[in-house]
Amino acid sequence: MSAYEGEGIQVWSSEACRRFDLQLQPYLEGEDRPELIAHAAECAFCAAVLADLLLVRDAASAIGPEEPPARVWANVRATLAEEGLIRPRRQPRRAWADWFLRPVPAAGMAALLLLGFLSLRTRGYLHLHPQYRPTPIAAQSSDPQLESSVAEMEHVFQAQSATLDPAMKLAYEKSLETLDSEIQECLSSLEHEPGDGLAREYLASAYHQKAQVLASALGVDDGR
Amino acid sequence: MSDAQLIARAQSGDEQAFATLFDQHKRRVYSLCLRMTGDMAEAEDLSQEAFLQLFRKIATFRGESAFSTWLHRLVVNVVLMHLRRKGLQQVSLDDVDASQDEPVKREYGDDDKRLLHSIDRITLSRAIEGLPPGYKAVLVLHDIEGYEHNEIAQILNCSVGNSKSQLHKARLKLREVLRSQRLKILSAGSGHGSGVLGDG
Repeated sequence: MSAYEGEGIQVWSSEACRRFDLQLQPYLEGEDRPELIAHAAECAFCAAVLADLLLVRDAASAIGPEEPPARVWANVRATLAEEGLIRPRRQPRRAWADWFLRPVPAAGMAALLLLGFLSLRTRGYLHLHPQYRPTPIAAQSSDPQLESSVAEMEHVFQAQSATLDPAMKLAYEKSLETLDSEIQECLSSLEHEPGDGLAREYLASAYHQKAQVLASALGVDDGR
Repeated sequence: MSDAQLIARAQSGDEQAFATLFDQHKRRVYSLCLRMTGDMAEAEDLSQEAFLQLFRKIATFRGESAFSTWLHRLVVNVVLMHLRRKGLQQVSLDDVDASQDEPVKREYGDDDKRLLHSIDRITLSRAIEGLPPGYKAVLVLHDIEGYEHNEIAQILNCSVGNSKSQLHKARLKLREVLRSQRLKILSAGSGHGSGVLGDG
């Protein structure tokens, strides 16, 4: 193996390194290449290349798919309906729905919902920002107003989560946990590089998604 | 319910079948659009466009290929058409960075033998955005979305060998981009503004 050293830069080149290069792709595709492994054990540069490419491959596979905003389906659905490509599915009416749709119980239920809402407001549980609308949402930089609304909604969610169905509660909590971890990751990136536009965009998106999850958990009407 | 059953129901206009198909494939479609364009708003528009095209054409789907392969081929075409319209870059899947045909660059500083130690999602996403479209499509489909080369060959209408070779070049290019990013950070952190590879 020959090496050029000068100005702190080393350039390695040998027949074995060239063979390593040729075997790299098949090895990464899962083929058995003992010669490549043996060379990597002897050559620091080739070992670093191999380790880096394995890291790149693994990091890419860990990225995972992203969740599109809910409005994508809403728009697709609306267009399909306009074009007459879908026919809405008729839901079979349930027994309790017949009761619910009778005028007197319906009025009573509306009154109960109103009372419940007023009671939550009076106890200070519901202080959602008056301008807050979970949708439509455009990707934008982090919004302090939204963050504050999300924090308030989260507080209400925590107060009410005991009353949720355990499976629903778990699903909401898992979603929130994932989004919190995304938010933390973005904040950490922004701490190191405040001008990182992509991290800011991801942060805004994570907050918006969290707002949507919380709005859904709390049954807040999003105006659609 | 299987894809075939869902498709049959969607072909008859069943809204629930459309919704389920959308739900099953939305993440992979949106992610592909996002990684290819690097822009959330564009990714939303393109996902929407791809699903609309899919649902409009669903009556013509005869099941010769897997539904997801058919869908992804359509998504890639929608994205490439969009990039062509933007005219910002070369978008042929075969048109890639010729410098990657050179062997692995064999330069490094003594303090930098291992070029990467960890990669966070945001750094990686940004680096992927900078890849030429051909590399990006193969890398996203294989390494992120988990497609096999034979499926990618069908989606991108290329040979299996081409898919493998593009993937390898894409990873090498990605490593190079990540490496230069890391060296910039190291250089800034140590107060050396030269950007030279290591200090010897």
